[in-house]
Amino acid sequence: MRARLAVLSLYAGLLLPVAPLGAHHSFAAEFDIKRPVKLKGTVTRMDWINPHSWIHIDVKGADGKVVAWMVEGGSPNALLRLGFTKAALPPGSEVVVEGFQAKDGSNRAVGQFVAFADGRKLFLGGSAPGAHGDADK
Amino acid sequence: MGANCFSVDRRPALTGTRISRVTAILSICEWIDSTAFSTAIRESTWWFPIIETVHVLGIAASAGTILFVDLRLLGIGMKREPLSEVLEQLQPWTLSAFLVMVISGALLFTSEAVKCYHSVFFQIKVGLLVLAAVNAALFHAKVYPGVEVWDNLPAAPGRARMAGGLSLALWIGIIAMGRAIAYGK
Amino acid sequence: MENDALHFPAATRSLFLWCDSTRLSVAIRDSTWMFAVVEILHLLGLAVLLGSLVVFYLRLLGLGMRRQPVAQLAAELAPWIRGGLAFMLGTGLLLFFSEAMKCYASPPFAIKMLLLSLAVVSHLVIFRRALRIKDSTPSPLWTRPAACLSLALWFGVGLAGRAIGFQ
Repeated sequence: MRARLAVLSLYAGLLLPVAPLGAHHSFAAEFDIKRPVKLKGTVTRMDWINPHSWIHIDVKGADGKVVAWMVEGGSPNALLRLGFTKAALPPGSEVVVEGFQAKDGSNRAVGQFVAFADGRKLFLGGSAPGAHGDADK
Repeated sequence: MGANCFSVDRRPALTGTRISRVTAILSICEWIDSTAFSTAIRESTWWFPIIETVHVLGIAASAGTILFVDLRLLGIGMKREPLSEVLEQLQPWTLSAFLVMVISGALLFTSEAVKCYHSVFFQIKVGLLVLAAVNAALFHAKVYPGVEVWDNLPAAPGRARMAGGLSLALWIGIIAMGRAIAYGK
Repeated sequence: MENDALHFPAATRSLFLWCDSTRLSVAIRDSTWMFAVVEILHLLGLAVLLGSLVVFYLRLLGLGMRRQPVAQLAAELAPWIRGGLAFMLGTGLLLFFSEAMKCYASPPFAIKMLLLSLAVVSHLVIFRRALRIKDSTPSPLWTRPAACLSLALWFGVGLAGRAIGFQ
């Protein structure tokens, strides 16, 4: 019994170095639900990759300056199941992306959905709440 | 990568052969990422999730079976069997499972070589894997041959017990670091 | 926007909402490292639980550890299976609390819980029988199909768990 406790605490002890290194995967570890963003801009590139896709968009601020943002989405598998294809976001597309900004304040966000000028919406299926078009949250 | 944390930073400056060695590895990783094979996995709908799932669930058959050899060496599990019985009967399964882990791991690495290169967790994981391999090799070469003497003891003697404890600690670290790779940038 | 999300009665939804909003849930969610640590512990627990189950079921299938009687092996693996399962349930509960509403909306989560219940029940039934197997050589006929079923269920739990992450 004591030996088993020793093995289990060995687990815990060896994990301490991991703690300060920061976590990413859970939505709330890297992104901030209190920092919602609505990014209106032009798609420059879409990284259709595992484990997370990335949409790069150039957002023109009120001051006229163009800022480059990176928005995280789901995996290709998740995207396809939400009706999002590789051809859906060609560079140059004018879109509005809604999501949540990174906790460190950088120009990164996790996206909930992409909205097109014609009213279409494509959910991004990543770790953000509401990224699957759920009624809840 | 030779920083000594107990002294003033006397790492050799990134000059000459060291810089070329570091950038050579990075170039190889960039080349790997540029291949069609790598891209196919990285942009896949099903391959990546399947390979990753095989790798994660394979932990059960690989580390999960080594666990019992280590527990027996430490004297805290499978105590009614002689060590040799546990080790020899589980070994074929452990080795097959590790083959699967190496193949799936290599495929995952291939799909995101540069990301792995930059990931401190991946670097630590590789280091721990090397240590685990050395530990196992030394155990089999130097300690296990004399097993008849201590086979039936509840806990193995000094060096064997140390090898078991070290193996346990290393595999815990390897699994933890593997998961942590996803947490990096 | 009602899509293919599962529909549960209002009481279930309230329960999930409550789980999602406890102080523990908020603490884990707001922390940069807690979720990661718990998730890693959950994975380590998987190594112990599934590892012991693999050894046990290899024996039932007659593929591994054949020189030991089934009942003896079962008795020795029992504390590790129990401990591993307890650890998985504990860490799993923590993970659940930190993202209860995400689990609510996740079909793989529902499937995982279903498979988990089936796996635990089938394992208990098989294990109790295994403890009573007298001889070490001829295995009763039921052991192989039972072992296949149970292993499939347990690995199904793992698969569904991965699917939650890939949503």
